[in-house]
Amino acid sequence: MAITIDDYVDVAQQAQDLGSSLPPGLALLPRDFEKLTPGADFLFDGQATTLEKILRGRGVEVARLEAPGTGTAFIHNKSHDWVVPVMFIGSELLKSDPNLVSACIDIVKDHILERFKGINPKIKASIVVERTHSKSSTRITYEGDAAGLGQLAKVIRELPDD
Amino acid sequence: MTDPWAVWWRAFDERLAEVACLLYLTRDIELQRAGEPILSALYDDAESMRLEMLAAGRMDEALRALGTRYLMDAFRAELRMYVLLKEGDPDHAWDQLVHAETAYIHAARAHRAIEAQIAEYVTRLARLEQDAFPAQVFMSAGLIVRRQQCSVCGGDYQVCEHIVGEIYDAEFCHIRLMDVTADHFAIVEQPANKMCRITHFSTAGGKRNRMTWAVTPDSGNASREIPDGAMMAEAVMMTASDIEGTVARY
Repeated sequence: MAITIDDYVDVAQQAQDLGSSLPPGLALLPRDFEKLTPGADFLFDGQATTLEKILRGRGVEVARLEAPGTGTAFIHNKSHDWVVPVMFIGSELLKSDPNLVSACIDIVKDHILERFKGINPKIKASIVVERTHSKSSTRITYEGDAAGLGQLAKVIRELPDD
Repeated sequence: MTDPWAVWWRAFDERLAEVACLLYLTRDIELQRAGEPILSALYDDAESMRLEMLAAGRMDEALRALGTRYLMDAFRAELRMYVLLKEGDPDHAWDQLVHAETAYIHAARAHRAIEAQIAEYVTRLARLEQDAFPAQVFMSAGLIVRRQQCSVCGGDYQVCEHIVGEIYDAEFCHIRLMDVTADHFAIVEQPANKMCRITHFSTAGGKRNRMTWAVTPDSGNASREIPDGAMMAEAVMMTASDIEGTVARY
């Protein structure tokens, strides 16, 4: 299991620069969002639609960041690695629902454990959390098995805010 | 009145016992060849019963029939694997091993009673994979997909209510990938499809088969220049299998 933490771009600003805007609630970001330039396709990890469905099914408001121009596509990797699309949680949302991250991670964990019973896939997950005042963000990346996902929620809970 | 499910199940079990005993490497190859059409008939039979139970609203039995259908698919693939090994074709035997393993997983997920029933078969195949075949180098394709069609409703997976891997009307939901372009290929430890693997690599005098270790002339690469220190490899990147379990490699 490995968890890394690094500074991330100002998500709202980058979305605006790309001609898009953040949806209310939890947002799924396209792959390499921080490096995208205006006009680029938004490419989401193949599990994005499934993730949206399972989260919505449990009452979590979630949407993909929509591409303004050419459209959205998905990248499906034919491996048993389960790549959780990058989830962005704004500071207001986190303040209003501090348990949201843990709840989402539990939902994902339960789904993977049930769906891949007897396979034990490698999970890759990134969650981007916005800081309250500076509006800059922190990205927490997890690689490991589904059972260890709980550690990710713990790390996010203990992140210092500004 | 006799329950049609109970009658069917008893008869099915008796027919199955005739072929299940052939799932060993030492069994006679002609008996194993003769067992394949019997398993195909049992597969069709389980599918008919799944539809009948579904129509009757008997979901538990429909799910058990679904699991049984996958079980017949797994048995048939395992039987073919033994035949192919005896015919000296370990590459295609490997495909059937992987097909059987996948079908066993589906069978177990379809119904709890089957999950308990097949633990012995799953363990045996896992041991065979590890001990009878050499370690493999697996490949995974990364595909850019512009349309995802739901197998349950035929609609756009983005907007329908179904979830891949879940069971609806006694059938698994999966996504049909459409409008697809290849993005990359990668070597991975845990491929979704273990049939995708490096099959040959270049060596002095031709190419070496990773399964048999035999070297054959490499007519396809004869005209290509291989830089010093580099190695050419042949790999299966994608496969498709039809309802009869026949595998096409790409």
